[in-house]
Amino acid sequence: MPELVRVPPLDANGDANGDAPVIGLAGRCARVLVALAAFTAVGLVMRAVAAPSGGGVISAKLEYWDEHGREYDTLFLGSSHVLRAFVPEEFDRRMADAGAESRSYNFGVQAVHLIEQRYLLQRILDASQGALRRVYFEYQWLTPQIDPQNAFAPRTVYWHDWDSTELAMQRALHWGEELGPEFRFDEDEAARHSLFDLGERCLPPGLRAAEGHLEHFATNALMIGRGKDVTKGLLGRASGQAARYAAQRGYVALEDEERVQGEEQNSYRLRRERFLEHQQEYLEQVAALQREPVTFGDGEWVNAELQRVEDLELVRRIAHEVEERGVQFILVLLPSQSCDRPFEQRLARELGAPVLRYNDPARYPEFYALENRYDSGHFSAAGAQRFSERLVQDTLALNLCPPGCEDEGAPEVEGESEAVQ
Amino acid sequence: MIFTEPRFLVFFLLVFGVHWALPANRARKLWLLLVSCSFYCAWDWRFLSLIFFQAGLDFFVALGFERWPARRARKGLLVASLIANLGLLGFFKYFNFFVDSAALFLRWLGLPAHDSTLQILLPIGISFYTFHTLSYTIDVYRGVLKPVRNLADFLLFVTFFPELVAGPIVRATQFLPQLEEKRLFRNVDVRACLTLFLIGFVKKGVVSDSLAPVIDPVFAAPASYSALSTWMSLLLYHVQIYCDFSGYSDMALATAGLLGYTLPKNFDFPFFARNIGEFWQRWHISLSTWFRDYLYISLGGSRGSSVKGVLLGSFTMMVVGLWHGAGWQYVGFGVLMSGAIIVSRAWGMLVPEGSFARRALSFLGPALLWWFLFWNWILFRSAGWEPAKEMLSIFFFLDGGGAKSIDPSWMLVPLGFFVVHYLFYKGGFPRLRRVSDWTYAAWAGAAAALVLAFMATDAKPFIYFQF
Repeated sequence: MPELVRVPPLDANGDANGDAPVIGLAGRCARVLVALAAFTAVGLVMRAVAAPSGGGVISAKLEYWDEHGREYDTLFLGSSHVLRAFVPEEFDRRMADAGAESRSYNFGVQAVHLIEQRYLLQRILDASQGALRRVYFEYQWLTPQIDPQNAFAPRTVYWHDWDSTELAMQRALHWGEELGPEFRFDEDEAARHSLFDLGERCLPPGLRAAEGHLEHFATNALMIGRGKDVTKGLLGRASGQAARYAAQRGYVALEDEERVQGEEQNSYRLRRERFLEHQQEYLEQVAALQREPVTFGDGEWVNAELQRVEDLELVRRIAHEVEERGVQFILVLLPSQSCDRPFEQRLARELGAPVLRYNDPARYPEFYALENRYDSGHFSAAGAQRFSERLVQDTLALNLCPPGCEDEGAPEVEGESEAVQ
Repeated sequence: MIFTEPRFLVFFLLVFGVHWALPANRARKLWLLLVSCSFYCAWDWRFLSLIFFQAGLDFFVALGFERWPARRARKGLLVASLIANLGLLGFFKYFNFFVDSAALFLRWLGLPAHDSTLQILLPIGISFYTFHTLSYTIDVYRGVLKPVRNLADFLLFVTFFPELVAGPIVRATQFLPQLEEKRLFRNVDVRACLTLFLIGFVKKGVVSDSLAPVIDPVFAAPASYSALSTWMSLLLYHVQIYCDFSGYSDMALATAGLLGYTLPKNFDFPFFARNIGEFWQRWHISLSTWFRDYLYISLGGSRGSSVKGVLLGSFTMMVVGLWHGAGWQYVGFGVLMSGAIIVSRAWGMLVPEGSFARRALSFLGPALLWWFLFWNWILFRSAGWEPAKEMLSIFFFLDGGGAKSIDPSWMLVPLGFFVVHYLFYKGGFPRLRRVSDWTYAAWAGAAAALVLAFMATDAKPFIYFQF
């Protein structure tokens, strides 16, 4: 028979604690407090030395921005649509040609959402220390709940500071009642018969979504799973990806991604092949975009499992926060296969900041032309060049005072732009 | 709910607080029974009735031994208990395996056979709690133990949450006497328990879970990886399986210890064993000794000729293999293990003590054992017979033609692990025992922060849950 393990092994008298003095409740509490203090202290030290979290492109870009943020005055912030659409060098060259100096950076990251964008923007503004003058902000849908597939991934955890968590919880509770059957619990066999999960499933959807954000906040606050970032911060090694994005000011064309070996890159290639095979489908979606006031044809960034909500109030708040810091806020709707015309019109009317709308194939057929697309959701390298060129024209048409124009006067505006609202 | 999940921490703080706040032993035991049932329901509430059925059956069978003391009646009751318990285990765990195998055999004979397997879910922990209750019935039958008269006590023995779903396999003779005496908090060494829990947490949450994303793809598609990567993945799996299971055992022991109960030791530095026999004396000790005491000895393995003993030992080892899972690869695992034990014993009998061959092998023993374990892990870990064959071929003939490879920096994990493991093997960190409470509190707080930072965020179920 295996021996029983008394933890710890008994001493010679058969008593686990020997002659150790009995500690009172106050003494025990004091020891717990010491442990908590040590826990907090180590956590704070790790937080101070850790490299930026978020994983992949986000870590790389934040890492770069923390060091070089002061060198840029113009920023493009948004999803992979932004990442593959704005070519900073082209934008700056065209601006310079028009007499307006600019130094821009593409802060596009895949699958970003509105609250995460706000969090990133605050970090970006803090690191830029007043150097930033203009932000092109892509409108993304708000996702009040966490996709179970991505729960507790570094990307889902990193933006959960208290401010963003509170905001996400507010939105989740507010929209909870309207989420309805779209907000489903993970219905795998094990979860369906767990008493705990059963209890959790009885909670209203909004409360469940809010609880999820709270758990992510705790994970972030306790630095759970941040060991790699701490090691990286201590060793001071910049990632290869950071160097790659630094070299191209945050922009990497999908054609260039293809050339790098790896599973992610293979998926780009597959996506491209699928797009070429289903061109007809794409053209039909583009045609629908011209007919329908509301359509969601761009399945690439629409997660059918998650209900999305519009949030004019939050965009307005973000615009206000940015402008309060003396930075021009410009909202951009990029060409895609999705649209919600009534909401877009409300945005343009009520935001109180410039809105550039490019998601209209009738006005901008060139942005939907096959030769300018890598796939249904993203520009090709050629498309990105054209789009950046167009953005310069529209920026100038906005008749905004570009960085440095206080001394030189406003640049000449060439004609009216249809994108400017 | 697994020990490394945050909700387990909340659960345990509640259990711990209420347990020690309750003044009466009876109330504490009822509380532990209630929370143990809740713990099981966190997995699947439907199978709680199955535990109650098996436990209730053995409770009344044991009482029946007293009521009907005639040898024949007692034997009849024991057989009924064995049939019911092993029948349920066999149905839930092995039904599909036997049906599939029979169909395969019939088709091989050229006879028509249809696949008619059922969608049977494996109740979590069934292999563990079935052995808990069986040890009780057999011990009462043997007269080693008196039957329990309190059903709640017996249910607590079977369902006690630290060891319910993945062991160690606790015997009635080890646990039931502990229920008779009131547990005293002053006898709990909180410091030692917390240290053990932290060690188990590191093994599972930091080492095992971090290695899973590296190892799993290799076992899923071995042909895509180079031969070197296959070997590397086996070394990593060697570390992972130990850290996963012994980490669970450490946390189970620590959790039980904090509640004032002691559980049997399950691991004793198995990677420092010199031969296969010693390995099984150090690995999953509660299982190997269970089979030794209740199967091998019951079949008369300790009596009669040495050939009979060896054959029965091999048979026992095959059953141990099959205990791990319903699949031919587990049968293969058992056969290989039993073969190794036969060779090891034959070597012991035939080669004289002090000979050159003996001395050479005692020097090479650990390396040979590891090499042998490596290819046994292939059978143990593979999803089926086909991928196992593919990986064995790469392992032995180095014909892995895949382009994918594992980052060599992962080899730092086994390296670091074995250094720390060796230090513990040689006596651990005795200074930690001597520091003041205040220093220990600060150390524990700091260590907890570091462990949380380095744990993998996507917690994986314990590997042994599937058994």
